[in-house]
Amino acid sequence: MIKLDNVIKKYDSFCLECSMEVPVGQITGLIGRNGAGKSTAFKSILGLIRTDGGRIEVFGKEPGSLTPKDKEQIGVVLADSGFSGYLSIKDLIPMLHAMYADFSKEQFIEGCKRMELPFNKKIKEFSTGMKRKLQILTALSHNARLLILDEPTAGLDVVARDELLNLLREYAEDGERSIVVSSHISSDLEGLCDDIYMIEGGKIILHEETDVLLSEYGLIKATDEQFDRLDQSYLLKTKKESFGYSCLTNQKQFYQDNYPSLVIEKGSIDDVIMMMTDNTRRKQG
Amino acid sequence: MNRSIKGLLIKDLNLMKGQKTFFIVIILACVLLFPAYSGSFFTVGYVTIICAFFTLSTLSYDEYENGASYLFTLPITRRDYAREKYLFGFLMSTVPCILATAASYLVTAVKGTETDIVSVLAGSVGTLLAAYLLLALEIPLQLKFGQAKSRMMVFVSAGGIACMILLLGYLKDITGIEDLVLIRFLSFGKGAAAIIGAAVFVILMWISYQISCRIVEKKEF
Repeated sequence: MIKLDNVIKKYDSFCLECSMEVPVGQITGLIGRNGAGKSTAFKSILGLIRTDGGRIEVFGKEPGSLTPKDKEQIGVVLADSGFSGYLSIKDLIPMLHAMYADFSKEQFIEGCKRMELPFNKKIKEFSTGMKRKLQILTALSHNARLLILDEPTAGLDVVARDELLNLLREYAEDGERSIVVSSHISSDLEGLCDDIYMIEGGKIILHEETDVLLSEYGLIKATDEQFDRLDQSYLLKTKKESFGYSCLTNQKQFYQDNYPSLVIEKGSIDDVIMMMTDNTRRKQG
Repeated sequence: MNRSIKGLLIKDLNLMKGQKTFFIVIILACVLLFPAYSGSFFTVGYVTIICAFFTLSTLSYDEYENGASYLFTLPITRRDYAREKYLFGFLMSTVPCILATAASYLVTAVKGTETDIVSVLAGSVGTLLAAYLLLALEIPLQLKFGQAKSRMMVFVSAGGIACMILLLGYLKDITGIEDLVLIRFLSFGKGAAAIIGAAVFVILMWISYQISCRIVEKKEF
């Protein structure tokens, strides 16, 4: 559905250099800290900004060549943008009905009622969470094949967040639709995504299937003595701590089998981010 | 009409509906001002220009809180967006101008004031052309520079045009060049002059539209 091949976008103090792929029927997560480049990557995919190099394909076309018909197949949530604040939901319904051949008016109205969004209030008076809910409902309202969701859970309370994640899971169930979703909250993506890209400073620093990440990655807590005796071939990152070393590995089983006395914690996305983005020395050997 | 432009027009009409207080004030102002200006020209001009300029307000509403980024993820092309603004501007100038002309003519007829329908229509057409030209100047400027800067640019360009007119007047006095150009232009006859004028007008509008398309196509959101 989406392919980014060495895409480059340069700003004065930031440079995006990104390659990633979103296959058909898959939910792909993009995780990174604020300012890591998630929104820039998404805006490049959507053709909202011009890139300085590389190649982007959406449905096999360059973003600039997408026709309105193609764009009807894309549902979008943007982190820093939305419908004009001077419109109300009541105003949006005829507009969306005119623009999308497959717009499901009843489903949209039902969703707005369920999420308790006021129909007559101007959008500029909505809270951040309400604006986000509106964008999500719009993205889901026209039977899109591809959802591009930049921080869709930002501003949502726990219940709304859970409801959204369930909606997205259901949406992708038919195996024909793809979703690329970004967040800086790892728990949002852990239970949702098939694979995860980790972005930092505009670069993809890790790409892994979520199952592998959660089952095979681990955080080793070693004393100085244990660390010196440790086979460091499978350590991705190490970090000096007061007790010795924290080490990130993608071969947890190997260390559990060969070093039974070691403390090895189950890997979480947060641990991986903390280790991968920390300014510590890379693996040895 | 394609779906994208239809959707955008609905959006802009709804934006207009959201500003109904503003339009009620305009109508009230016309009603109040009309007796003071028994000729219809002021009312027609006032309504037409104010309504035409609402097109520019929709550009600001689209950009409010970075909304343009999201707008361009909807199923529209950048060219559709520019095209719709010209279409909306055309509607927002023409429809109010026709309504205001009809209303002011009716009022003067009811009052029994003698009115020359030809001069009323000529005044309305002149106002309408001025509104189109203002939009043709202002739409690309606002797309490029945003509201605040583009207004400044209009003041600067209006100042520039005024200076050019003064300069031409001065040159005419000392050389008589402008007279020559004018005489040549009028020597084609009234019909031909009107056709040439209309052609120049259409070309100016087309150039403005093409410039706007290029600006939107190059813009980053």
